[in-house]
Amino acid sequence: MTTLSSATNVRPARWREWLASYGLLGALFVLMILFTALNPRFFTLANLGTMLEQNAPLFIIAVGATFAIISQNIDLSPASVLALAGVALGLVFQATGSLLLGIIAGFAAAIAVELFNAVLIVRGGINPLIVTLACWIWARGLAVSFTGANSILVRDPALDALTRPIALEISPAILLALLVFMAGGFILARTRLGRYTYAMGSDERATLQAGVPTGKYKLIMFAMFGVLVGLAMLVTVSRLGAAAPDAAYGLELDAIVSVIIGGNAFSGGEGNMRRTLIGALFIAVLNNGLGNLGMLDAQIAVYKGAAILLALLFGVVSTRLVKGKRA
Amino acid sequence: MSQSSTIDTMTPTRLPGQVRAWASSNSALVAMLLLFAFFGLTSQTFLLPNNIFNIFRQMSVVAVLGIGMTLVILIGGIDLSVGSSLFMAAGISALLLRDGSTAPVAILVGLVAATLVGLLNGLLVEGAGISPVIATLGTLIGARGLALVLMDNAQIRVTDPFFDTIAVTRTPGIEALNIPGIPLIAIIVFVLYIITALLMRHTIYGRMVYAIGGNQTAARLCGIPVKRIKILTYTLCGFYAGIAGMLIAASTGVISPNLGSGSEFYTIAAVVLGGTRLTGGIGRVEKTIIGAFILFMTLNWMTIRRIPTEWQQAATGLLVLAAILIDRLAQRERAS
Amino acid sequence: MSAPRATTAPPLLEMRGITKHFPGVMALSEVDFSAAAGEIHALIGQNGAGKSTLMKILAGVYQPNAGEIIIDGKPVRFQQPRTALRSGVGVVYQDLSLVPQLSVADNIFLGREAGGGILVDQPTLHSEAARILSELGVSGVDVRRRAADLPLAQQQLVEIAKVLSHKPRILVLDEPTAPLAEEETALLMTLLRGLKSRAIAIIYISHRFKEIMNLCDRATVLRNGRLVKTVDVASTTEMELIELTIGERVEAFFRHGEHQASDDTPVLEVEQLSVGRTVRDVSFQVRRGEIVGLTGLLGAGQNELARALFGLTLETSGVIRRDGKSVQLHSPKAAIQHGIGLLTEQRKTEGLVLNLDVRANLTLPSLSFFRRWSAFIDNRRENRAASAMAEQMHVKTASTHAPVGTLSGGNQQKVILGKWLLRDPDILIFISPTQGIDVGAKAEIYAQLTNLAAAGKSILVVSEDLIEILGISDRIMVLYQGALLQTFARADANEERLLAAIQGNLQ
Repeated sequence: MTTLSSATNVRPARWREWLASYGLLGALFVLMILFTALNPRFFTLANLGTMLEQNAPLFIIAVGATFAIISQNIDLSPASVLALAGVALGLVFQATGSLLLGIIAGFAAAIAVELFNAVLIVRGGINPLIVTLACWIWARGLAVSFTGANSILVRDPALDALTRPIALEISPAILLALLVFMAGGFILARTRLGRYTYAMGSDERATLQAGVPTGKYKLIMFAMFGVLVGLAMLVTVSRLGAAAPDAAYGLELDAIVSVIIGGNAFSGGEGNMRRTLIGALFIAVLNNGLGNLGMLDAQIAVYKGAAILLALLFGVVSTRLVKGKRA
Repeated sequence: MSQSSTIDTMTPTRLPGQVRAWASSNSALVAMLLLFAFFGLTSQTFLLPNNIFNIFRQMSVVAVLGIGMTLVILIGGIDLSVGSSLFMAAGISALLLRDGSTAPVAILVGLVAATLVGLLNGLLVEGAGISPVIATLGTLIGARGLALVLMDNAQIRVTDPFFDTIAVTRTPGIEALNIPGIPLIAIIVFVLYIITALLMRHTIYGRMVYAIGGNQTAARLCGIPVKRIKILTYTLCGFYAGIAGMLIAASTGVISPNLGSGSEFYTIAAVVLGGTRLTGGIGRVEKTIIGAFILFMTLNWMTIRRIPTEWQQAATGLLVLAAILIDRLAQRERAS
Repeated sequence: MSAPRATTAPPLLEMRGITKHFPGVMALSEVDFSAAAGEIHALIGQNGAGKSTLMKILAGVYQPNAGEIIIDGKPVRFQQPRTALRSGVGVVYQDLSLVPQLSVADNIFLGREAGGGILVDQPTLHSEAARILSELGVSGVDVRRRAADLPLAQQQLVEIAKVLSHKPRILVLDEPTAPLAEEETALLMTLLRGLKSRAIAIIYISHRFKEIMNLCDRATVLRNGRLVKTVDVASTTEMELIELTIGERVEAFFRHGEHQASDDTPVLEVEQLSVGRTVRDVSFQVRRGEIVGLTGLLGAGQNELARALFGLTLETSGVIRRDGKSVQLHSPKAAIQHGIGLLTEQRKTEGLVLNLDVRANLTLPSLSFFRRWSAFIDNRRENRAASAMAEQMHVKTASTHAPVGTLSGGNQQKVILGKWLLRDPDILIFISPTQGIDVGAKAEIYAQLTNLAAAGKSILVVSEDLIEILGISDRIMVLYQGALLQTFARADANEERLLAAIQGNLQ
């Protein structure tokens, strides 16, 4: 037997996990009670349904952001890509009158742009932050250019049905978001792609050395993000009844914040989809609750910023408490 | 030892090697000169002194933001909140001026506000241990929101003789050659760059910044107060954002709710175009002004060539990518 | 001893005329190398001799400029590590290549997870990993734990298990015993001997000549990128191997003769010092001009103790006195101000700022000496001091303005020592000062330690290498499970007694 003791911090890890994921859940409940007290209409089935639907694109993008952050490939571009994909759908729909062709064009645009990002990261060796930041600029720019900064009306019964409640204020869009979450959680936990997502984020060189074609998996991951952006775009267009070049502005920040306040490490290599779900719910409740209090956008931003910072500090403190102070 | 043989084998190829080495370590400057020549050849108006001065003026805000951003990136961090700090500084100064403060007081309070945002960033990152992207994202949202609340969500005009003077003052031009004077704003930007570049080269602080960015652990083991220096750097970044806020207040004359939003991305682009590495420790402040010049000279040329503004945004994003890609490929070439 | 048949049997691996240039450097020049199935073949040479480069060419990490690789009589070309791995070349690298946040099982099967298709079959993965480890005789490793949470030695064993699970026919181990304690080293030796019967060719890179003498059949010596000689180990002495490696007769390795502390004034007194849960109630003194060795098994607390003395750990209790005055060492900065310096084995991660030049690295701890106008650096004085120190330390560099990253490993080490000499602390703490350093450079470091002590510096050397500790220390302190077990005077210590003491047997 080896003399090296292996009985260190098994339990604290679990405690930390518990605190990291359920601590925020507690905060979420407090927040919901607070909003209900301020505005009783908050805790009604109708409003909760609206809240979930408003934020369905956020839920979908947050799933992609979880993969991106765990694998250390931060993506700032999804909201801009969403707008561009929406514009592609709108233009094709306008020209052909076919929703199907429009959807194909929209998805193709989203996947193509994300793959373009991935190729620059993998082949060009450029930092993901820079690549996706540039994309944040140019994809939005293209979306605005193609439309002359005007929205394109997209009305189609099939698309409208996506955000029309079918029962209990629940629309297909909400179910879609839920499905995306479950699929994302499954892929992350049970498949090769998921395993390599963690491995790349933890130590990319070692992963490559172990014979994992990391470049290929990054391409797959970004393509998957493209599909998610496409889905979020469908919900957005359906909700607005139009393809707007300024759609989803700031969504990428909400998505990234959801992943992080949920308790996933920004430094990559660890995390899970359940944490992202709680984080995204927290942001959704904030967005909806603050919005219903009749405040100005500016005031909403202040409270939202403060709540996010509190949640982040809470995460940091709880982690420190359990891990013990490190010099 | 192998060291001596290293030098021997390098000797024969020294001269052309030196030229190539210079070009590849000053690729931003080379790119700037090439683009400048191209733009000059394809447009008569581009080369007019007045147009060049216009570029200087247009780039001033991003260039000043770029100073602080370069420092933060050198220590291995990033600050996404500069656009909001700038807005906050400009908004608070404008408010005070409207309510009858004198210009020095308004400027001082504005600068202090932005500096405090920088300090908060530093404390969040170094004190609380939140990653810089996330922490400064939080202050990006919060600082703009707070400023908007203070401003009651409305536009504020800046009508102060001092600010107006800053905006319009120029050095004497040369009438005979039809050369106008250099705008004061451009001179302020250049002076700030010269001062900061000298500080980085010759102060203990500058040395510590490079040491921390290059290897934080080693720096700490050498007794460098890593946390304090990093917090100071974020604070400085906020201070420069405050100065940028004063410049934008002077030059636009009106503080509208989305003033300066998105400028953080152009600023990071300028820093990276200047060759500073996002990984920290490598880069020069004075090269960021080259990056800013490349960006704004391109935008200017596109305007002259009547390319619609919307397309300019898309083209700018792609230009940044192309420039960085070329730089990376050149580095790879050199390494192999 | 098994007779090395390798010389007569057709070799499994042949590398012929391998040449590799890096920009400005000839790393390998027409090196021939061969290894037979069932042989353990040592690859020896000083740092920079070309061992690692040769193995990286074999593993497909680098492409050679000239030469050919023949496996089983067929010429092969490996464009990348993956193809080499598939062709049966497995490499255990010196810097571990485990993914820290994945579990042991995930690491072992990374890149070829069980379950076919795109899904991962977790239960099979775990049971297979456990089987592989037990086959290797490794016990006590939970395959579900994260690799980062394992002690270094266990990580090393997992790494070897991972490479072996690819069923390589050629196995390269790059200094596998560096992080291992005696016991694990013995385990590894048994394991490698067992592998010989599986007709695997094992290439073993090490600086430890004793291990090579015990384990290997043949040894190939490289020097300055050239092949010196391939010898049968059975018919060669350890001295001969060392001489082939450094290319000259070995002079006195350690200092000779009694060296006494120049006076009895204690410069550092430690009373009842505890560090977290790793060090308990340790008390000792260090006198002026004395070299104190601090040793123990890996993980006995000696590293933590040394780091605490440099202000790197906050969870300490007890009293530390410098020159009789009680001091608080809560940061490296405070430790440096109290005249303490620390040099660790982690040259690149803890010692140097690679992108800064030699001058800036040399003056980093003593920037305040060159201060003028409160915030500025007096460049002229700084340059002069740095150049003088570079000269004194015989740092081989084109200029003190060259980035320190361009220097060779040995010269980097000199820069690290030089920066502390420039700061001129009274107490220098060395952690594993010669780990991963070749024989020639070791001798230089020992000489420097002696000179420093003679000049009145007090030195604390932390090392798990008992020979080294015996060779240089005036006094030797042995830690066992975080407590100070025993202190030996130089005259009372020998290898056997120390070996017993580090296992916890009071002498």
